[in-house]
Amino acid sequence: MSQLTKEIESYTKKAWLDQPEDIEAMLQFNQETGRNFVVVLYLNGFLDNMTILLYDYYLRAKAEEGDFEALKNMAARQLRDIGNSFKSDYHMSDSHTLLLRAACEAYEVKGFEELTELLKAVQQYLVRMFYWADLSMPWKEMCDAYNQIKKPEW
Amino acid sequence: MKKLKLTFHGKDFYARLLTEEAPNTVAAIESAGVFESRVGYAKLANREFFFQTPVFADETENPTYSEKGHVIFYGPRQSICVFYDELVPLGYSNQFGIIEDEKQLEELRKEADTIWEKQGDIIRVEVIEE
Repeated sequence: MSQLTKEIESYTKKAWLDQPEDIEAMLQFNQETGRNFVVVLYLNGFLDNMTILLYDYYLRAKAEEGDFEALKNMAARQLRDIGNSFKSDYHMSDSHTLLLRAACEAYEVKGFEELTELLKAVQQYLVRMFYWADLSMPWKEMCDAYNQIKKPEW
Repeated sequence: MKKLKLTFHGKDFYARLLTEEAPNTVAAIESAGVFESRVGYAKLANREFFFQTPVFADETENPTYSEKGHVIFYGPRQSICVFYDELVPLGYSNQFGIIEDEKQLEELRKEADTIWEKQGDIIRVEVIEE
């Protein structure tokens, strides 16, 4: 297991029960414009999709499915794009750094086994962050407010 | 008989583990030992709560149309999901446990319904032998 994979696992463990600093930073973003709600909402949608996408990549690597170079490069580009979104859209700097480092490592892996280990660790980390994004949204209150707004139309 | 013990809100709940139908999933969860996680409430389905586990179990060994009392493992999120009351499920899931006792389910419903109002409480999970 690579040093980076161990670090990612360590981040996931640290964020297991305690809210990570990245989430605290995300919750500050756009507060001054009154639109932090949009940040939380979009982060939920973003991670909802990225966790499923990365899981698919992980399963393909685990099954040694398809061309190794193509899968490796596709995964690396995806990790890079996710990392950049963490910074620009959500102000989550630890996640940004981890994902960019993972992208660099993905480009360098020598075989399916290394790629599988890396993707597994990243995917599990993203799931943890997804659940923290989920906990950041006051779902019941938002649903109640939405129902009030929509009531005249329904 | 192996059971999944779930402890939250100060109460214990037990699901019989389907060691014949989903042996690998049960073994994977058992290998995690005792762990804690934070509960969330399902957003699209109803009467379901879930929590992430430190376990990867990628095979859908026992695809079952979800019903009240079913305990399933959702691989893409490494999560255990508990269907605790009558519901319209989203589809088939990897069932590895079942809560059969109606009294248990009634008690579980009282606690699980509150998760929609307040997510994030800690749940303790372990596999026990009875």
